Amino acid sequence: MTGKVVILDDDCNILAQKVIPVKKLPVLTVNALMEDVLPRVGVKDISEITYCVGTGYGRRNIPLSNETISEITCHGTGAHHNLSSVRTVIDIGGQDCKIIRLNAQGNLKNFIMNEKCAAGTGRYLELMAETLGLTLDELGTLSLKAKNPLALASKCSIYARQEVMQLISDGIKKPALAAAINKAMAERVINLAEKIGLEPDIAISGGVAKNIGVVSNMERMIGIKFKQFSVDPQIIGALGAALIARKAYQKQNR
Amino acid sequence: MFVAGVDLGSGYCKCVILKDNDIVAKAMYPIEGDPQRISKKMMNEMFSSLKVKANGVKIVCTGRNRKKLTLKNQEMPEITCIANGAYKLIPSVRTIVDVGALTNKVIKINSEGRVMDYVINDKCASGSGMFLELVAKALEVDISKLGELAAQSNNPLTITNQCSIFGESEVIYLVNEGKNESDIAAGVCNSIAGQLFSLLKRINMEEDVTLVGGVAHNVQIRRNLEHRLNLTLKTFPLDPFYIGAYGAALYASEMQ
Repeated sequence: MTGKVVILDDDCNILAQKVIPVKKLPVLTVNALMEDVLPRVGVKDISEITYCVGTGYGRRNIPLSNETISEITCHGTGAHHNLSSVRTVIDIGGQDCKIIRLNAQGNLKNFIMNEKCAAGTGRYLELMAETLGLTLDELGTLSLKAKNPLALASKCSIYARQEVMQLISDGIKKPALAAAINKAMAERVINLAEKIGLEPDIAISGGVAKNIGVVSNMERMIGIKFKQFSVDPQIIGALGAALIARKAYQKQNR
Repeated sequence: MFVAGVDLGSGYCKCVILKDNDIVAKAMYPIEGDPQRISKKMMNEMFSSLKVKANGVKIVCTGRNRKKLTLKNQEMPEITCIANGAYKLIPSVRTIVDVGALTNKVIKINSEGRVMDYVINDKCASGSGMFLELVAKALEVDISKLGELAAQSNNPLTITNQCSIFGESEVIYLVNEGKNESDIAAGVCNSIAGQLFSLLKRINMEEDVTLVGGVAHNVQIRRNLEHRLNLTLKTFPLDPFYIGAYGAALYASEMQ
């Protein structure tokens, strides 16, 4: 659903970052991202980028990448670099949801992923926000105003949409519905996470990390407070990709 | 004597009115908004065009939203009504595949038309009529034309996602990539046929086999399912959308 870019200097400082909604084709998204960040770091031509690693759902379609690395590896690398105490990364993307377990060195211990069903992914929240006529941000904040949160009976995104439409016509108010949606979303993610276990510290990456309703429900369900990244949680994967690119470049030029 | 059968589903409200066991009226409304209001409006329109009073008509209601119809004498499960309607129209039928807006079902009946077994996919909307609707929107074609569009394809694509929401994204991506629309449509139809085939494998299928629900109009889904099953699906002398409503109306006529 979004494209992200991170540009690092030799000392791993973030020189520029950008998140945009995806364009019609991956190559157009990449071009738009580059047009935004390159002038900001004083790069005139794309060829001045010494090494590029592509990751994410559309990673095979990034023209300037030197190599592609899985999202699991990139999220793990980015998360460990930004927050070395992290042992579990919950990444909720537009098209999938991943739980990544890391050891103290930041190496991958285990992971689990849902990419088959839209329930429990960002797409579910987007669809529900659309049904309620809210933005994704409003869906998060509005749910905090709910006095009596309901529970949704449906797991499937399409069934849930029908259910929410029925509840709207029954006169249920938007905050209560937003709360029900965020709770259902949190349940899907935690159910998946519990299959491989959650070791603290835990942090959330991806756009859904910004939905306070989903995050607080997840914290309440597992009884643990999440740690915060010091950067935008949506760029963790791109940060990891940039760190891997930097390492690969250094190895190449040693 | 007039009787009515109403099939208040998740996508459409269908109604069949019988007089002395013959169909004298049938109608179908998409459910956009409150099913209760839509079904009531539809029934009133049908009754007034036949110049009959609603309170003199026995009404049996079926379908996922059957509880929402206020005007009725009795409720019946969909499976029973579909079996009843299909058997009455084609007595040789033993296996009925019903593709609804949200759920798919396979129903097995015996030589007396009694339900012997059934399987339902009601966990999620994969392979349902809703998926077809989302795809029709993405391809900007009317859903009734999707089957013919697909049938023109010489090179059907493979749709990898089972989830209807991810399938929709996949279709949009293929459109953006400039892929041929009939190849995309064929991929979608074949994927739905494949999911119906999997559902059929979970039951001890017996011939004759038939397809009911709006999706039965889709020539590519029909053809692909026939190909996978290596048989010809029986067709009804009535629009397959109305089989459940017709079955309900038959029950209503037995009530007098």
